Parts: sequence; C-alpha cells; structure tokens
Amino acid sequence: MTSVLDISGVTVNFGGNRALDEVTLSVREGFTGLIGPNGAGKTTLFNVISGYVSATSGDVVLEGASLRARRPAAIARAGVARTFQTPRMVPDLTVRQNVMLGLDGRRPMARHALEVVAWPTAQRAEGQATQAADDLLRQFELGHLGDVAANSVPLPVQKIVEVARALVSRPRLLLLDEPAAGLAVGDVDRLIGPLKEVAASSHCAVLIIEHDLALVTELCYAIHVLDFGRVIGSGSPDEVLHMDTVLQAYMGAGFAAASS
Amino acid sequence: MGQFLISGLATGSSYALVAVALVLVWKATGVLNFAQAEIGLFGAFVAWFAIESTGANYYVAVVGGMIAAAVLAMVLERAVVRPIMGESHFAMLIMTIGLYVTVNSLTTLIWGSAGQTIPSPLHGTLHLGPTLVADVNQIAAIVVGAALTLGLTVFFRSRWGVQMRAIAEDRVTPRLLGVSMGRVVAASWALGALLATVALLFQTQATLLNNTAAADLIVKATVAATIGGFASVSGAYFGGLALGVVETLAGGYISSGDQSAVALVLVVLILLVRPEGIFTRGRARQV
Amino acid sequence: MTATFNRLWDSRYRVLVLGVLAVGLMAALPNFIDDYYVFLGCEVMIYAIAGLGLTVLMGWTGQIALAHAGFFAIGAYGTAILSADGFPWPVALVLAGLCATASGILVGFPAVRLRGFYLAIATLAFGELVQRLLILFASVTKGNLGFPVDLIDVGIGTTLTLWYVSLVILVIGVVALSQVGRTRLGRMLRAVRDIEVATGALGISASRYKLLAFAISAFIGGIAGGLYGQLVTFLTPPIFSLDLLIVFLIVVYLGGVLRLAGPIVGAVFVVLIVEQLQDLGSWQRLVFGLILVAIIRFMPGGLVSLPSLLRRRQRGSNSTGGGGLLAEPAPVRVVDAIPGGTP
Repeated sequence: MTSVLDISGVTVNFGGNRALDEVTLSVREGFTGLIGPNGAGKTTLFNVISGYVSATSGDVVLEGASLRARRPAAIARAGVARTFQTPRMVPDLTVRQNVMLGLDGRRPMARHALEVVAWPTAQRAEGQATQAADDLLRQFELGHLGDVAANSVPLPVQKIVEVARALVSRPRLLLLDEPAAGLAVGDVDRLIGPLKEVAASSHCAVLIIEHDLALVTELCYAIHVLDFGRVIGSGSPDEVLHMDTVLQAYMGAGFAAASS
Repeated sequence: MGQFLISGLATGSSYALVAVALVLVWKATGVLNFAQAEIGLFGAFVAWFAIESTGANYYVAVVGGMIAAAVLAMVLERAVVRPIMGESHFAMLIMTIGLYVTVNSLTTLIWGSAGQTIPSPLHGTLHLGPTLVADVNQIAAIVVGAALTLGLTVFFRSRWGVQMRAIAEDRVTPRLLGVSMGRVVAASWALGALLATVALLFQTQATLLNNTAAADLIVKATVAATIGGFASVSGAYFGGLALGVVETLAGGYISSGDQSAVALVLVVLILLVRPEGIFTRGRARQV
Repeated sequence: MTATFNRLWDSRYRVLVLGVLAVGLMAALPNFIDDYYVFLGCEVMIYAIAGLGLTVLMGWTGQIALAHAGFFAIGAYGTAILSADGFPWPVALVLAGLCATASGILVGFPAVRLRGFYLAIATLAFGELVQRLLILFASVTKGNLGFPVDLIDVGIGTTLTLWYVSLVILVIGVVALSQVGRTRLGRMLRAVRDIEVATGALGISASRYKLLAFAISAFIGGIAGGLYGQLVTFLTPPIFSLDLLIVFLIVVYLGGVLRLAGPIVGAVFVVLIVEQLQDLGSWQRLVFGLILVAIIRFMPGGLVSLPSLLRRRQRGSNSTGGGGLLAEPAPVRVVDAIPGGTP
C-alpha cells in the first residue's frame, strides 16, 4: 500500500529549543499511532502537518503534493482534517451546525449570495450538508443531540462531535489529538467503533496521538514513538512496545534493564 | 528644520506623556482609558482656577491640579471601573468612553467652554545654535517629559514598580504572594492622571486651555502608544515624540492643514507593516 | 379568533407575525403623530441601520473596529455629491454605499491581521482620516462651508419620504441579516469569532471572512449615511467626528452586540435620551455620560440582557455576569494559538 503522508527530515526550532529533530515517518490508510512522553513533540508535529507551525527544514508530502509553506486553510482543503486536545465548539451553534462547519469551508464563498436569497441550488446543497451531518451524528449515536447547543453537552461528547466534524468532509488524512483523553470507557467505545467504520469506508489515513497504549495497540497496525522531538522507534505495536529505547523513554533506564 | 524638530518634540512630549499614562493603566488593568486626557484636562483646569481665583504660585497650583486629577481618577476607577473588571474588552472600552463624555461635560459645566491661558513662570528663549531659537517652554516640555518617563522606568525597577509589573503580567501569583492588587491599580490610575495633567499643561502653553483641548490628544496618544507597541513605557514615550515630530514636519513641509491626516495615514501604514509597533521587541502577529 | 391568535403566537411564525405587525404599525404611525416625532423616528431608524452594520462587524466576527463613522461619512457625502451631479437619488445611494464598501475592504486588508487594540486604533485612525480628508478635498466636498443635500420627495413631503425609505431599508436589512444568520455564512462568521484558531483546520479562511464582514458592515454604514444626509439636509465634516462614532457604539452596545434587535433598541434609547435631555442644555451631555456609565456598570451586557439579568437575580443564582451577551470567548493568546502544545 502506498503511503498517504510522507514526512521526511522535519526539524522545528523554537528559538533555542529543538521541538522536532529530523522526524521521518509515513502514514498509510488505516490507523497509525503516534506515542511518546509528554512534551515529545507530538502535537508540534500535528501543527507542522496542518500548517500551524512551519518546519525549519524537511518536507511534508500528502499524496505527492508538498504541504510545506501552505496555510492551514489550504492544507485542510487539500484533504487534511484534525482535532484538538480541547474541543473547539462554537457555543452559539447547535451540535449539528458545528458538524456542518466541517463541510462549510469547502463550498465556495461566492455561493453565499445564493444562500442568502434561498436560491434552490443553494438550498439543496444545504440540505445535503445537513443530511451528511445528521447521518454521521447518528453513526456516533449522537443523533438525538442534533439540535442541542454545542456548549451545553458534556466535554466528552464535545470531543466526539469534533471528531465527527473532522470526518464529515471525508478527509484523506485525519489527525486525532488524544481523542480518548477524558473519555469514560463507554464513551471510548462509542467513539472508536464508528470511527473505524467511517475511516474504512472513506479510505482515510488516520494518525492518532494517544496515551492509552491498549487503545493504540488495538487500533493501529503501526506505531511511531517520539521522544524529545526524535523518532525513537517505528513498527508494529508488538515490536515497538518491547523496544528498549521505548521502554526507557517511558519508564526510565532501570525498568528497561530489569525487564530485558 | 531644526525649528520644526524642537517644535515637534515639544508637542510630541504632550502626546508622549498621555501615551505613557495609557500604557501604565493598560498594563496594570488591561483597560484602555479613553478618558485619560480628559482627566488631565480636569487637572489643568483646577490649576488654572487656583491661579485665577487665589493668585496661587504657579508650581503650587500645578501640584494642586495634579492631585485633584489623581483623586478624580482613583474615585472613578474604584467606583465604576473596578466592578466591571472581568467583562469583555468591548464593555470596558465603552465604559471609558462613557467616562470620557462624563468627565469632559463635568469640566465644561464647572469652568465653561471659553478658552483660558495659564501664564507660564518661564519666559524667554534659548539659543541652541547659530540659527536655532527655542522657546523656554518648549524646552521645559521636552525636558520634563523625558525626566518623568525616565523616572517611571527607574521606578519600575524598584520594589513597588516590580510589584506593579507583576500584577500586569499575571494577576494571580502576585496576589498569592500578598501584593495588593487594589493598591497597584489605584496607583496606576493616579500616576496616569498626574502625567496627563502635566501633558495638558504643556499643551496649553502652545494652544488655548478649553474644553476641547483633550479630544484630539487622546486620539494622538492612543496612536502614539500603539506605535510604541502598547507594551512599554519607553515605547509609548518615543512613539509620542515620533508622532509629534512627524506631524510638525508634515505641517511645515507639506501644509499645516494636512498634518493630522499625514500622521494618521502614517500610523495605518506602520500598523500594516509592523502591527506590534516600532519601538518594541516582540511580535504581536497572530500565528 | 382567539384560537387562531393562540396558535399563531405559539407557532414558530411568532416572530414573523410580530414583525409584520410592527412594520404595519410603523407604516401607519406618521398619520397619528407630530412631524417632530416623525423626524425623531427617522433618526432612530437611521441610527438603527448604522447599528446593524456595526453589529455585523463587532458582534458577528468579534472585531472591535471603530471606523464606522468613516463609512457613514463616505455614504453621506457620496450620496449628496453624486446626487448633486445628476444621478437619481437611489442610484447615488447605492453607488455611495459601494464606495463605502470599497473603503471597508481597504481598511479591512490590514485590519484582519490585527487584533484587539491594534485593530481598534487602526480603524479609529481611518475614521479620523476620513474626516480630515473631507476637509482637505474641499473642492469636491465644500469642506467646512458645508454641502447642501438635495432632498428627495415622493410627493408626501421630505420627512415622510425619508420615513418610508428608512423603514423599507431597515426592514430589508433586518430580514437579510437574520437570513444570513441562518445560513452557512452565519455559521462561518460565528466560527471566525469563537474558534478562530480552529477555522484554518476546517478549511475556512478567517481573514477572508473578516474582510467580508468589513465589506458588509461598511456597505450598511454607507447606506445609513446616505439617509442621514436627508435627515440633516446640510453636511459638514465636524458631524462625522469621534462623537458620532461614540453614538454608534452606544447604540450597538446598549442594544447588546449579538442580537439583531439590539441596534433598534439601542437607537430608540439613544434618541429618546438625547431628546429628553435637550432642555437641560449643557447638563445634557453630562447626564448622557452618567447614564452610559451607569448602564455599563450595572448591565455590562447591554439593555437587551436585562430580562435574563432579572431572571438570574430572581433565581438568586450567583452569576458572574461574564459580560452577558457580550461575553467574548476566552481570548486566545498567541502561545495558545498553537493548539495543544507549548513550544
């Protein structure tokens, strides 16, 4: 299988601090895990891919097209979607409307004129978007919350809504930043099941940052481990989680020595 | 050219002092005090009144005016600004606009709208070179402005000053350490009032003291503080001087009618290129 | 009949029905009130229209932009000058509105990259600049001598004509903007206001939409300015000063920045207060200022937030206030703007 995303030699310097150091990895369709201790640079890598931070050197290539030096909105429209550690919901809008935002950016600006005067073609597009949002919400068993104000649902639910918002545009690459953090076991199941289905049906490549190693092992066919901005291990979950370097990073040298 | 420079620096000193006052209050409270110049005008009028009605000594009257302005500022801060501290920027801005209208109308009601002059105790001219002649009052404005700003910068390194800066940067930790936020905030408003009064007094050496004297000043001072990045006292000071000089030069070389317009255009252009201001080191642009 | 009334009241068409009734009332009103009050009513409607424009910028995209007096001035002078040049008034009005739009985009370009007070200052500077330019280009604008406005009259007198024209424009404005609020554009503008950092990730170009907001706001402000010319009949640059901007801010603010009904409420209140205080002479301005200060002190969310404020007090809940309708979303510092990570 060819890779959807190729990151090669990405280095990021914030002043004197090297946040990412020659990071090279590839992401294929399906789930790929990105793990590592706090501060390892995982979210910074997401920021580089999605265009919020520019790399000092190296390249990010999405299906042959370089994403370097492009603005976040352009990268998103090229088929990259992401979530944030804290969900960003528009409080004034309903859950459904928030999900629809995932599609709104892809319709042209010029169409607004038609939408304001309720032109039939515009109405139809709106109807389709509404339908897509509702369908997706139903898949996540949140269909009943469509009309509820987004800031009145509990945080775990908001996180799931944000995932739905990212998925509604059927992105080629989905970056999930700790989607299960703060979710109870039941919510995690409610998230993962539909996530796997939708990702599979859209042929989506998902790169997921997670601390829940059991979840990562279950979901991902491949994992990359970051520590201090460097990739210290890549491979299948089994391989990676037994690597000395990885154990050392997480638990300290003593543990690694004791377990070998 | 040198003439314009002196003139510009003198006018600019007034802009600078009010700009410094704005930054002071901003750093301590997060509020852009749109009424700052009006408070200074109030103080200037008190000084004028003291001289007119009691024949008081100039310097005594000035001090009296400054104190009056400081008291007014602290009262306003305590009564109406502090209670709404947590509100949106928009709300705070409108509040200070309301204060701007209130203080100005108060001043007008008490002292009328006729223009007054405050005779300065300093007379004469200074010869600064073969062709350069400066009015003593202009020099006084420049010197006093610089001295006050310098004094403030030094003050901010003192214990009190450090506390003030701490409050401005981070509101929680200093309070945990026992720094009284209320006193710091009140002090910043009082200091701002003192500076604004001095600024208005200097301005009225060149123009009349009347109830419209402060309106233009607040806009110029805000502009100056912005050029300075709204982050530092010295930035605001130099921003004010720069604005004064540019304006006077424009007035001299282009036409006096256009000088305000030129200054404003310049500001917009500057903000376009460097929104964080010229006299700062930081970057204000959104990532 | 009562059954029908009850059904209508409870239906989702309630707002529509009330709106139609209100418009009908406004249309018939001039027959029952003095010319003086018709004049005042025009003033209210014009301020409300200007307020709508400012609401789009301030409330919908959350930008503290203070150039509105400038757009208003361009609309006023533009309409008057083009009309004097021979253009039919409606054409002159629209053209002047478009000029205002162009200036809105001009100001918007740098402005969308600025935040908070930098934005406020830059836009304030623009507003002031417009006033200076009006004096500068006296050859066209007659500067401080003043520009007389050709008054339009469809046969019922100039004031009444203005009443109906303003009413129509106000209704169109409210309907159009509430329609916008319900569409994709409304969603996207709100996203730009509340989750700006995330808009990039959603493929939404925040700066383009802020620019659009500037354009819309300037157009509406310009149209209001053109109407204002009919009201004051004689244009001079000092009219479009900081004080006028302050009136706009008060109109928008008193009404509550988020709802469309806000500017209407605000305009009524402002004009009422100003008129009531007329006889107080110089005390008028003082009372005006005090009222403004008092309102913000006790109702930072604007008058429109009064019902919810009272309700909260009744329930005895400990509301933090939080600015009521005006509560800004938690400001995103530049560091936080890099989501989730400290560098």
